[in-house]
Amino acid sequence: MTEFNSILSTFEVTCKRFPKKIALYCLEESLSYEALQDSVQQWSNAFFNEQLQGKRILIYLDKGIDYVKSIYACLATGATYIPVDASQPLERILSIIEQAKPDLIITDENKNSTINNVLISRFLINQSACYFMKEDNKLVYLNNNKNSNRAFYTSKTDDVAAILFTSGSTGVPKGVKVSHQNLSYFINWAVQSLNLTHKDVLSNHASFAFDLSTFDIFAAGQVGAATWIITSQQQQNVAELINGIKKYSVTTWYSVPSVLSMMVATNALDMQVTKTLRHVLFAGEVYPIGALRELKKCIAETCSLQNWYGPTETNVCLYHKVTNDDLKKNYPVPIGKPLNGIDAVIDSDKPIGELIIYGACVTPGYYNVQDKRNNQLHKNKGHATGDLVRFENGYYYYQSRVDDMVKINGHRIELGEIDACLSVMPGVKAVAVLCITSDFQQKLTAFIVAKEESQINTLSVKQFVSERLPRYMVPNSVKCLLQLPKNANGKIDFKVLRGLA
Amino acid sequence: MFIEKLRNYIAESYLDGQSDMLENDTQLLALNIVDSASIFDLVDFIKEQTGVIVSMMEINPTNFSSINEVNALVCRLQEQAV
Repeated sequence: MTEFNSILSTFEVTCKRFPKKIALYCLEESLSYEALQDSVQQWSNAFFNEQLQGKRILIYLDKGIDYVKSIYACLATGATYIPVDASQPLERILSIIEQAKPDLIITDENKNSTINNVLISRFLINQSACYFMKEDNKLVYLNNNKNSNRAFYTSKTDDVAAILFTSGSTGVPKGVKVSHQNLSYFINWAVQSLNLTHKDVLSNHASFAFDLSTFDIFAAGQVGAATWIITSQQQQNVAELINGIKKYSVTTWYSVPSVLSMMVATNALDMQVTKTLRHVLFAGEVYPIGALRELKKCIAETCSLQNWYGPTETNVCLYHKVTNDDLKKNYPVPIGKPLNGIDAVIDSDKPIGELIIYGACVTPGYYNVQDKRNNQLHKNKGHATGDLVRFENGYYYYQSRVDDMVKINGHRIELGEIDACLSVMPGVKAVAVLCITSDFQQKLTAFIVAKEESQINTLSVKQFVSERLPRYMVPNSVKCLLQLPKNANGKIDFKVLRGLA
Repeated sequence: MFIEKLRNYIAESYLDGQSDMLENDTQLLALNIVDSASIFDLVDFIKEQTGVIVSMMEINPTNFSSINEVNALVCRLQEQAV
């Protein structure tokens, strides 16, 4: 049996080959592979001594260099990392902690004060000295003597590397397990397909809780490339994004389409800025064709423009290199063809049906929720995506959803999660949330029936949701009704509701 | 006053005209009243109302976080132009 080349073992090789090369940039900081490996070694030794091999470690930090150190330290321990986006509301973070039931939380002193009531051991990252805070509040400082004898854990294909939490339709965040095989398969494909080397510089726009980030960190780690970590304050700051591309000579950009469109809209994303880019990759939602044409004008002819497709449960499973012919059409570019070794099947006799994916990219399963059909499929390395697609001239095209999950700016949103949140708002008797799509935008509209004596104001609804759910789930508009329209079966009539929006 | 016009514009465009709870320090982005795409509509509105051109360098979440912040940005740019 040949040895399994996990993302961890290739990272170790990279650290030996390119010790002095910069692995990470963030704000004014940078870190070499050698220094990164030292921290990972030290932290993973400590985690190992705390018997965290095979356990779950939740990371609650701001985006930055320490976040990536933490991720690698978890993997080097043989633990599963559970990334949390610290910019989300505390209520949601607590909900993820409750679902994830981690054995350790990596955080800093600031954030730790917000989760005082959580009875789980902490690892606190501190400039002068990192330390554990045990459940009984005992502090154990890290031994600064480098004990680098212990080798990194040797990952096996079925080990769960990460659990990524996404929106759940019942109001409970849904954990998707990501195995070492999933990651290694995807990263190998990406590195070969893009011909990445140690000379590349990758952007990391996505949150570490979002599957896009696995490419940014682990593809770079495999080849010795650098990753520029974009902080959550910088994520929506177009000037900083554009300056960063220049400053770090970014060669490979990967983000959701809306971020690229935002940069294009400034007129500042010109050839001078984009000259170092070899690849512009987008994923997470449909890129409106008109906007994609505008983007194409901003990048060199030699720069590849690719649409990567796949839900968190499969990560990238289909891809398409955008051609000039694609851009002449009046509909979105295809989601393309499956990666080598992946099977894509349309679950229907009709031309349009649900896309089912089979292969090494498919998750071993959900961590905390039951989904009868997919539980069965996951056992056979299959996943029903819930996306309706058509197959035309050798390419798959995305059509729509089978359910009421929506994508807004690349964020996966179950409308049921917003329903569940608003149904407990004081004064609310009934609620239904819809996503209204026009040519230019998608809008979340909440239809609310107030209790008799109550008055519901748009801003108070927004305030209520913003304290509990991520900002992208806050309804854009709120309509108050005397009652929700029902059809003959007594169910909410969404057609009528749509007409009221 | 520009700040009044701005508040009315935001209430009309993004809150179905409900201005009663909209304060000058209400968090526009955190409450998803204004999103990253509609910032550009605000930039157009500012230009139309005051003639001030907001450069790319000024388009960031801090400058558009509340009515007060947008107003301060416009005042600052007007002073710079003099």
